[in-house]
Amino acid sequence: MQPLNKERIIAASVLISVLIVLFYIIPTYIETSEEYHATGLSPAFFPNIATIFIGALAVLFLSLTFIKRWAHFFNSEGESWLSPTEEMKAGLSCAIIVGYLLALKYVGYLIATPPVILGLFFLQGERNIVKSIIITLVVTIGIYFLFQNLLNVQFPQGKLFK
Amino acid sequence: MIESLVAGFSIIMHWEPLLAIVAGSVVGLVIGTIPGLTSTMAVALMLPLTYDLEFVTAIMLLVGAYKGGIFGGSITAILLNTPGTPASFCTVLDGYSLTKQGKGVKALKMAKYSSVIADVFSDIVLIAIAAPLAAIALKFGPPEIAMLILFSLTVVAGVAGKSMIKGLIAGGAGLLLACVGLDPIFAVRRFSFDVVHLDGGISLIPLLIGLFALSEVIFQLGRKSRTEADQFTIKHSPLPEDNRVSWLEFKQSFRTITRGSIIGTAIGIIPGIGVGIASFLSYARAKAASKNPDEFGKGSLEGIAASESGNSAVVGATFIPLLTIGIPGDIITAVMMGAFLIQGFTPGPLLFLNHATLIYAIFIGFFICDIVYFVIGTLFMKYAAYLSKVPRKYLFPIVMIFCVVGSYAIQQSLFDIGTMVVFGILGFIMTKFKFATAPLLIAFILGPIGETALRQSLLMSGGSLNIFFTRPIACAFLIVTVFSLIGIIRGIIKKSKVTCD
Repeated sequence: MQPLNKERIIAASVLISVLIVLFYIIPTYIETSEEYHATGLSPAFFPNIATIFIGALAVLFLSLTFIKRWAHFFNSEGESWLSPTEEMKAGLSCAIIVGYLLALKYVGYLIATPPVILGLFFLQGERNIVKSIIITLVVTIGIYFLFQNLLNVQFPQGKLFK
Repeated sequence: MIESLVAGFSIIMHWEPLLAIVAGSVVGLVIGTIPGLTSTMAVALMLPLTYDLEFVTAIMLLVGAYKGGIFGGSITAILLNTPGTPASFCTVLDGYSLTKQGKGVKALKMAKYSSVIADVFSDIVLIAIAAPLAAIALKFGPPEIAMLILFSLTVVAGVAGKSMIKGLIAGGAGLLLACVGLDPIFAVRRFSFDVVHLDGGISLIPLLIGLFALSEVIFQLGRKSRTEADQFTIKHSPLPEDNRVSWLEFKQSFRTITRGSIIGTAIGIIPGIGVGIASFLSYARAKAASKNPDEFGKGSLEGIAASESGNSAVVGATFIPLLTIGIPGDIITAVMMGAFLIQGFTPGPLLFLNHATLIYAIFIGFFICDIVYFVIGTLFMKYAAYLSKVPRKYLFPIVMIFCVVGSYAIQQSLFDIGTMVVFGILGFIMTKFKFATAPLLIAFILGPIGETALRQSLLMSGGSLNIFFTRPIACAFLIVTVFSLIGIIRGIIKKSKVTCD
């Protein structure tokens, strides 16, 4: 996709999000009352200001993408990001991290952590199982000892074991 | 001030703060040396370790990590052509050239001397002006604070990255996110979505660990391993003069170091600008003023001195706005602010009034940090190259676990881990679409202070905005804000014309 078109989509997305926040989220999720409006001190005052600020910037952003003179701002040649394959790998890592969060809730730290570390090592290309297991155990127990015993942090034990 | 200094000295000269300084410096050096891990990450990851520590010990641990991290970044910049932190980018230009000539040790030593001198300079400025500034800041009321925050938010544009509009949008998002929780005046729910955990607002520590540490981890977990570090070998010259900085070479660079120290300190005092810009400005000025500008970029010791003095002098100075008026000077002091809040101390002028001895203990700790990382840095330089070769496939999964555990440790809440993961993914997406994340954090921290001050001011004036014009200090900040905005807009227009041409 052309860089400018991508930037226009980003600007439009921000603008749509602003409209949703301004006309739906703020009226629905901020408690208001007539008495708050007396001196413009409504709880919605600052969120409205921030949202309108973002909206104005989004409009400016979108407008600039249509002006040739400013188009160069949106060409990011020479900047490296991840390839599509690498992005998928990053996405998979995110999924593992989210899975780890859920696992912590149900089975606790000591059971959830080793498979996650092993999974990430595998995803990173490590195929030496013995080395992976040793490092995993050292890290899991080391962090447990550091936080639980030295810093008095009680690790989650998991709902299944309570 | 003398009594407070003496009392502070007696507080810092115990084994816990001193051990914290050493530990923080070592961790900072190690993390700063590893490409992909920044000094911001070092401080963010160390933050959870401070919960159970005493205030001075906690802050010294983080300051050690901060200063060590900055210097650690220069080591890989010089030896491996890879800036360990963004602040070391300019150091690469001359440091690596010297390494290719077999003079890597000379370059490292110049970096070390420049860093320590600049650090000491900025620590002296910190001690000299912090207390008088805090005394002035005590006269600030809500209108002055509101206008100061407004000025600071315009300066956030300085950390907005390459796209200022996107950076400002990120800043706006930070302001909006700061509204989650209870309204500061009427205590009604805002954006809680009926989630009890959000009534108190979004937790700062999981947010910043997610935004800065986890987002980088996700990026690195996606990246294919690079092999050049494994293949790289460092050349060493056998000649003694190639492995030390002579008195003459030092004397020739002293003016550059002084200039860099002043530039770094000045940049550090202004909230929102940060280390990278100080390093770059110092380098650019040194090149312009040098008798041998052509040597810059090809192995000039002056170039290294300029870059390192610039980036190190920022460190002490960034604590000036944090300690005197409660505004973080850069991203790392924004993280430090979290440490203060965890310990139950709110940075600002009242901190000087009520806890002067603790503050001066921290100031003395800064000097001790400089000595410690000078000594440890000397020992560390020999082994640093090996550290940067730690395989990524092991490193980043382990850092991820630290992020998770660190976020959990604050309130021992799984919700905080969830917050950290959400902001980690958000930070990754923001970086992908070239939205700077630093403005979001700074606006998130400054927003509630600014909102409370603004609304209190309007309450005082009965809703009239005149209060910001009739109070001299508030009006002065407003004028400075307007000039700052004009400067930013002019800069954008100028950049547009130059690039077009």
